[in-house]
Amino acid sequence: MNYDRLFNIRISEEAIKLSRRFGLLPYMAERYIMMFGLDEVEEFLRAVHNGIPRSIRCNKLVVKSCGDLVSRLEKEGFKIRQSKIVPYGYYVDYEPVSLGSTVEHLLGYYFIQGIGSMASVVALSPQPGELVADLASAPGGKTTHIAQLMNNTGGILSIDVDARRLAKLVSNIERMHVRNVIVLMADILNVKVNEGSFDRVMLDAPCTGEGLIVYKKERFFTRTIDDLRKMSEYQLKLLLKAFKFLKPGGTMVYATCSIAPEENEFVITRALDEMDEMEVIETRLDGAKNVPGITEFNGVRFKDEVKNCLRLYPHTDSTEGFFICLLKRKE
Amino acid sequence: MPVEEKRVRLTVCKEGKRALDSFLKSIDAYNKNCAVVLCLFSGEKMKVYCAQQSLAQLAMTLQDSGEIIYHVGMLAGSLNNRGVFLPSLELGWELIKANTISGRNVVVLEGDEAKEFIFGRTVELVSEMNWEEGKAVAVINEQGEFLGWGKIRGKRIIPVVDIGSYVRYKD
Ligand SMILES: C[S@@+](CC[C@H](N)C(=O)[O-])C[C@H]1O[C@@H](n2cnc3c(N)ncnc32)[C@H](O)[C@@H]1O
Repeated sequence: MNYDRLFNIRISEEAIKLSRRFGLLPYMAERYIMMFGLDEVEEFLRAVHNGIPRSIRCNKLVVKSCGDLVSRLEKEGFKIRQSKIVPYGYYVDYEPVSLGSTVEHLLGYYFIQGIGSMASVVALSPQPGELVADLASAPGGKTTHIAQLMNNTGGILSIDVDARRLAKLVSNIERMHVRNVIVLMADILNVKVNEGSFDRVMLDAPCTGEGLIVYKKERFFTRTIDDLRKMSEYQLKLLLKAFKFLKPGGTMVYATCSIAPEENEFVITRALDEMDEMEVIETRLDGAKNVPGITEFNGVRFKDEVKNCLRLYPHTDSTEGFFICLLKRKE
Repeated sequence: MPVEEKRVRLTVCKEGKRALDSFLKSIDAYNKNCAVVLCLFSGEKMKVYCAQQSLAQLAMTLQDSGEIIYHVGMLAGSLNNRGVFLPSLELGWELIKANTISGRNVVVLEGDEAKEFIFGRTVELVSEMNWEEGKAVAVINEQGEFLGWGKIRGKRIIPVVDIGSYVRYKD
């Protein structure tokens, strides 16, 4: 199938108007119109414009009661609100001092992380005693969360290729009191790990970060359609490799902090074309709006199964934009 | 062995275990959670890790297949080329949490003193205790939370490593 037309965006009058009003590149405005339709696109862009507060994940490895942590932070003047999707995730509506500089942060009582990012680990649902691979893992938001759900038992293989980011990953593993991790400095495309040996795999793929526009508005005009095309090819390679880590019957999450269908449903569709053993399982979370995956974009039809994937947006779920898709290796 | 290879090799090592044990002894402490002691050469230092048996085994298998291990289990400390053992923050946290360190080797800092310490600054002690010069101590706050390792110099505590370092050295 020729997928070229996916990256060929015709810009409409509406998109130009929208791009002027909200200060983003016209091709992005056009894509958002395609994603949401004319009514919803404004809601989305307004939510992006308003931004969302930062959030923290309470570290249940060391904090006996997240309620106590919240009270402690509130006493220090923080304004805190529980997430509907992640019960131990909290929005911080007001920070009297930077969240990164408190004693509680240094003690590893919380990790500063988007709710969307946390939701991907909730979807993976790692269990105590399992063997889990976290590929593309630095700086460790997912690795330390996976360890939390496994209660520091079993084993996590955490791999990243970037030395500077690895140092941050290790620092976070230590700060969060995580004990069940092996960190490898490796390119997952070449890593020589026994294939078929992991119960679960997390691939939080490198991406254009389009979902993070709620925090970083400059992403409205720093990414080109060519970036999307290149990233999408790379993500497919990573996904095909990551899937091989799974045991038959094992599950993986493919996630990105991007809302671009080119980096998500399109990548899954192509992976399904290449891997008979891959199936998409329904990714739905309590407390979320559970917006399904997109099945058609810019005239290109994706595999029907991708509607089982999950999309999170600032205007529907008050999260950064995130894509989460559970995949299973057939027995 | 070529230097490059030695630098990144993970081994089950007696030298690291000895250094860890003798450090623990020097502060009247013991650690229950160190099934296997592993060492990893990194630059001038040798890092010492504690790991559960199965995790240690997996790490060794990965290394045998040619992978570079960067971290495993819990960092217990590091041994410099003069043979001095520097305990990790994780080790201190573990000892305080499990209450397996003698109270004589623990200093409690209050309010601003605790703040100064986690900024990496020397703290003047107001208490009248007679501390042994040069002794390593675990420093905690009034809530009993581990803040770092210090060394006694007269009536002062010099920070060796404190939890503030998690954010001070970020890139
Ligand atoms: C979205 S970030 C991961 C964030 C991380 N999962 C977390 O929750 O903190 C993507 C990561 O992929 C890593 N990466 C990119 N290509 C890679 C490859 N071929 N092998 C291993 N890591 C890779 C990057 O260095 C980057 O740290």
